[in-house]
Amino acid sequence: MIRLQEVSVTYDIGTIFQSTALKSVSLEIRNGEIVSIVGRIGSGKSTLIQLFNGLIPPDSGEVIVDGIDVNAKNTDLKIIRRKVGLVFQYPEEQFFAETVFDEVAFGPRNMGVSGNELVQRVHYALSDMGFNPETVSNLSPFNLSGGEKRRVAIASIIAMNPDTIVLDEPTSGLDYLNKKMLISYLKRENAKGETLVFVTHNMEEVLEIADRVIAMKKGEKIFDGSTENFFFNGNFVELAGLDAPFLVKAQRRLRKRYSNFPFCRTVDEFLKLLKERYS
Amino acid sequence: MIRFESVYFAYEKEKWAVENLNFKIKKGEFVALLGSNGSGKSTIARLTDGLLLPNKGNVFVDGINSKDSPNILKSKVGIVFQNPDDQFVGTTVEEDIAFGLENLNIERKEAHRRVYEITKRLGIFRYLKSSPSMLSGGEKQKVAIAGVLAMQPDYLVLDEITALLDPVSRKEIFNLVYTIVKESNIGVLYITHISEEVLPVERIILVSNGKKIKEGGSEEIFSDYKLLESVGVSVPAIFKVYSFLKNGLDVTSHELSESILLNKL
Ligand SMILES: Nc1ncnc2c1ncn2[C@@H]1O[C@H](COP(=O)(O)OP(=O)(O)O)[C@@H](O)[C@H]1O
Ligand SMILES: Nc1ncnc2c1ncn2[C@@H]1O[C@H](COP(=O)(O)OP(=O)(O)O)[C@@H](O)[C@H]1O
Ligand SMILES: [Mg+2]
Ligand SMILES: [Mg+2]
Repeated sequence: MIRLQEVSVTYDIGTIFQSTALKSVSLEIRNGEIVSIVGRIGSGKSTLIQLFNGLIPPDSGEVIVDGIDVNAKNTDLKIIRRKVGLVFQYPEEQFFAETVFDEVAFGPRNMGVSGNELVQRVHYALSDMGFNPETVSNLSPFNLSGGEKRRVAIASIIAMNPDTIVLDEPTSGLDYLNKKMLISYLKRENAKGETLVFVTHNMEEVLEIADRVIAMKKGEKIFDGSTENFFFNGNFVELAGLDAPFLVKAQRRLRKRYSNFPFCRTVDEFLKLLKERYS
Repeated sequence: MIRFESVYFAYEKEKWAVENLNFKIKKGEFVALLGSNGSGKSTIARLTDGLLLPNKGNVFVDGINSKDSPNILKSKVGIVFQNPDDQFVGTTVEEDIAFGLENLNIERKEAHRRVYEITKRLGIFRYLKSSPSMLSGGEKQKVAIAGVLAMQPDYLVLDEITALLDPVSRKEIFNLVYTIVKESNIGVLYITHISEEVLPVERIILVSNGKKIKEGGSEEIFSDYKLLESVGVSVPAIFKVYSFLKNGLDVTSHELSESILLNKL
């Protein structure tokens, strides 16, 4: 479990560039959840998730992971990073290894894993991300397609066996099939018990897979609750400066007409319901 | 007119990135090129402005064959790419836009007028003295578009200019470009992998593996869900709802607006 308590972050303190990225944010990520963090560009999303594994320290407030104060002097950050794996935006830009195997093995090797266990970890991480480990291991990561690169980058975090995977805009720049594939692999990861936190601009993705939404605006948390409430109980999407997708607008309309219209995560679900029960 | 006549192109021997491609774009037309990653869209973009030349077949722009005169094509066809960070040359927005005009030997007063006009039109006038690197992704793309439009090309190729933007900026940029070029007489090839974007476009060319799969309005393109899935392109949610409600509607798919559909629900 990750807990943030009244956390604030200001960049470039004391210079003319000083800017407050987070203002007294408190939140909790519970085990097994899929949480989506949304907000406009510059609202503090990336800053927020970098606190989760101690990559940056807050100026005030506390970050607690499984009862450990992440920023206490005697905390070993290695332990925190085994619990919380962070996938940056465009992670494939940081590839350096000559083979896919070495790229994915880098994290666990650093943690002292070797031999058979290392091979096993790399293989299961690659298969979790939809690869055949045998065929992909010896390829150069640089020669893969955009979608494949992204999945190798995520596999390299999965191989470290974290309890929670935090992803910063994991589908950005991907096309439809690659997005769809990645979303389904991430869902499967969660079904196996992994906690997932992902930042996204794509409200359809949020609607489709998130259990809970945290919405940020100018460094403040303006919503924290179920996905259904985020989209349908008030106008939080708009308050966050985001655009409600058509599917949300359509459901809002039907919810007005039928007070018990069920929550649909995809357009196919929605149309099936319309056909069967509401036409 | 831009005309592709049985065009083939390969980066590596025998591996066609573009295969037997035929299409036309007239001046003043707005045509979309839709396809998944790797389907050949950027290759087609580069063939259109003479950056690449066909291995077989011909590309003509206003009757000029790209093989005879690639440089004339470059002056007739303006191109904007996906990543704005890769396309800036000036240290301020103003310099950046003026740079292209200087290269065309446009007189300073005229250049000044054009920079003023186009930045006003695109809503980036207040950034003239700013460094492009300080702007947001959407604003950077506006600067890149301004730089190309200021050169007054006859045709414009926009290669996934919204792919890296958030949905809010994406819509803004698309709508802006769509209205600006509709007001002018520029022929546009609007390239994207995002199907939602091309709903209002009257002619869409669907490509996969370097080949044209289908050409037509959004109704024709999107009604075959299986085909789209097989070429890795999504069917927009709004189109699915439209198809469901179609009998009660008297609009065509490219006139679709959210409010028309919502009123029918
Ligand atoms: N390394 C940094 N140095 C200075 N300012 C930063 C840095 N990272 C982010 N900021 C600023 O902090 C604010 C929040 O940024 P960020 O957390 O990246 O937001 P988001 O991920 O929602 O786009 C923005 O105003 C941004 O300019
Ligand atoms: N510079 C290049 N060298 C070799 N192959 C390339 C090059 N650029 C693109 N390709 C290949 O050509 C095909 C079409 O690519 P591209 O035109 O970039 O597609 P899109 O823009 O639709 O993503 C792909 O298989 C791609 O791998
Ligand atoms: Mg960010
Ligand atoms: Mg491309």
